[in-house]
Amino acid sequence: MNLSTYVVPLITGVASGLILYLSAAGMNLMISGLGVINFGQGAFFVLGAGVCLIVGKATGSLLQGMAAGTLVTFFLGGLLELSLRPVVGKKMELTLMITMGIAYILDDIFEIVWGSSVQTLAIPVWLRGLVTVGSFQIPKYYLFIIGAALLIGLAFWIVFEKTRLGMRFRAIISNRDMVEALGVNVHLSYMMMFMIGIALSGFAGALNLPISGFTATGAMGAFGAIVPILVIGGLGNIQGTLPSAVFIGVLSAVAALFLPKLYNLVPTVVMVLVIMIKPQGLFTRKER
Amino acid sequence: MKKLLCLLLAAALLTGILAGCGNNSDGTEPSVPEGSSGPATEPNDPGTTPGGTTSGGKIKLGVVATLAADGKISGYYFEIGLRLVKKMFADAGLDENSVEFVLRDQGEDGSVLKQRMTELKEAGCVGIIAAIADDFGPVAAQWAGENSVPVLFCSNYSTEMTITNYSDYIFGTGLNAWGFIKVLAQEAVGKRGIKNYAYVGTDGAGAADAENILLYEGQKINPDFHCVASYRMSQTETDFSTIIATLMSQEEKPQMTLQQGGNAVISFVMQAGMYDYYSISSVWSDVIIMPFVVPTLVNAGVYNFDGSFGATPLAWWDDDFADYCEAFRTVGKEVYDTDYQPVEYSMYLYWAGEALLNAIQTARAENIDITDGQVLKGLLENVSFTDFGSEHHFRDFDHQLTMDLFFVDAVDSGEEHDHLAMPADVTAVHSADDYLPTMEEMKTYGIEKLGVTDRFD
Repeated sequence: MNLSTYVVPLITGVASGLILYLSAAGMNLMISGLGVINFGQGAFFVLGAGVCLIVGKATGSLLQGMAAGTLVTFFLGGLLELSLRPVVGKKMELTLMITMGIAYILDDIFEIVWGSSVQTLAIPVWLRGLVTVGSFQIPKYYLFIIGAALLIGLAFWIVFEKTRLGMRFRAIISNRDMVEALGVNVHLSYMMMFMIGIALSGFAGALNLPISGFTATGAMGAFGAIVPILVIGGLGNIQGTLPSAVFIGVLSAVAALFLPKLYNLVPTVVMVLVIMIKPQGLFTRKER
Repeated sequence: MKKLLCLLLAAALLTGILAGCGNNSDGTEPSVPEGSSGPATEPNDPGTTPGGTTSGGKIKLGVVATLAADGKISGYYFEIGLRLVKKMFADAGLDENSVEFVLRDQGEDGSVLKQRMTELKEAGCVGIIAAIADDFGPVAAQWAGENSVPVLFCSNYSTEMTITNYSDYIFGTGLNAWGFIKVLAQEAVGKRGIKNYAYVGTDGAGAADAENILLYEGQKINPDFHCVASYRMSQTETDFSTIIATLMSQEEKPQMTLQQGGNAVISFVMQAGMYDYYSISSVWSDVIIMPFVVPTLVNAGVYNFDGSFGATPLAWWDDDFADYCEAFRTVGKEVYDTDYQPVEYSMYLYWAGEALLNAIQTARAENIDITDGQVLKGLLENVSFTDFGSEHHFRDFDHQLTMDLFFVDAVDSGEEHDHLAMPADVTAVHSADDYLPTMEEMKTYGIEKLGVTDRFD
């Protein structure tokens, strides 16, 4: 085997992992800030793709479709936060059940709106074809995915670590009561967290559209795909999401190369091992 | 924290079960839209004698279907198909007063399937049409044998059903998995000299047969025919990019790729197009030449007409079949205000209806009272009918309905691809006698590969 046998699948695996990173990062933001596990995260992944499909077909522009998918899910995130506000901070099972119900409702709505046939959008001409790097050839679109995901990740980090908004988020995550006592509008911050968290998933769905197509009933599958990233990175650990997603991508590549018949099982098996050995996640510090 | 993790893990596992279990085919399963009349759900009828017909000569036939999952075998296609079966009976003078269809939704669980079928039996149904995924076939076969009620199975008929879990009360009106793959092997290895393959598909019963029998039949033609890679995926998987990248990068590249997984073929082809996968391998599958797949991929600029092959039992050039398609579309427009072209599962359901009609008509002509499943079974074993140019009867040793199979390759008409038109040319017609495995072949395979030694005694 020559080097390209390993490199191209690894790069592809990482690209696939980075799509999921966006959705998982959004979910971790909601978990860390509000303690909400949004079972509907996969539904917004699908919604982002669906809106991208509609706008992309109407305008002939994938990028415009992606922007539309992101914006629609951004604002719907605010509505979702409002609907969950009465139960946030109370029993976690309540938010789980409510978001699960929302996911199922959205599933049916999507099917009514889009039908059940798989649909897709052509990628722009400038993103088609292969890029030759030495002896490797990588699809342009996958390099675009890597670039876009890392850019969004960088923006996310900058906002979270370097802006007042991010500081507010971190303070709320650390001690909500204290922040509220200081007169900060915590609910508004919560809403922003939700909106950003949902929008990340919507953008991920739009990014994934030209690769996997749009399936109205794909919400549960999309949710299931990010669970290993959340668990391996550490639930609620925003900083751990990116390395976890890259790790999952690498794992998929390794499985494809060496364990093809167990391809689907590998991320789940690793997730279970992590829960058994280090339940707080591989990329987080042990809780005291 | 650990409690949270346990909750999440349980939720994830539940998600996996709900999302992946039992799904089949190409994901063309819509829910009933607002304003339509909805599925033909019949109320439960508790007042009849279990296992027998109602008084007055009315015959009850059960229908169990997966109404709420992905798949061409359910949703709109099933609904329209069932209406046409009822119309077929009515046109033959057997309306709802003579033959009643009792419907049950089996959901996604094998244990629910048994329960539903038992309900149908207790409601007085002497036979059952099972429009369900091939994964549930063995459960249906087992139930049929235990309850002595013939079940007409409208899905891919796998070796797990015809050899391992065979029941004398199961009748397959769907595609024979072995036969289908045998046709592909003959075309790929025999005619095109293909020497190796990669398999990318689900791990359902039919899909497992697809890989195993492709190798088995291919090596009969060329002993050097071999597999370079095999990937088993979940039914909901849509990301094949790593697999494609691996196949493109490895030293021995596959000359053909057998893709089995219905809905997933669209995602696979989209990703394959990005990698220029067709420069190394053609893609073979049962749906890759279908009208509901091609336009989507053509519009995305990734469909490769030269490298896409498949086989189908649909005789779309036949005038009678065109009439059936028109009827299908008419019902679709009336009920759902949408144009739907029948798919192969629609035909399996139609053929199940035809077989039952044939059996009931024979019973009436010969004054046979269909009092229970055993009587109906005997009648079904002797049905014979012809439609769309193909002769149909149930083979005596596996109850496989005979049907012609058409090997096709995709054709670019140059015009906009209509989702209602078959974008393929027939390059070979395989009759049932040619492609279906013989009893001896099945016996040998059962002993050598499956460890089943007493099936054909």
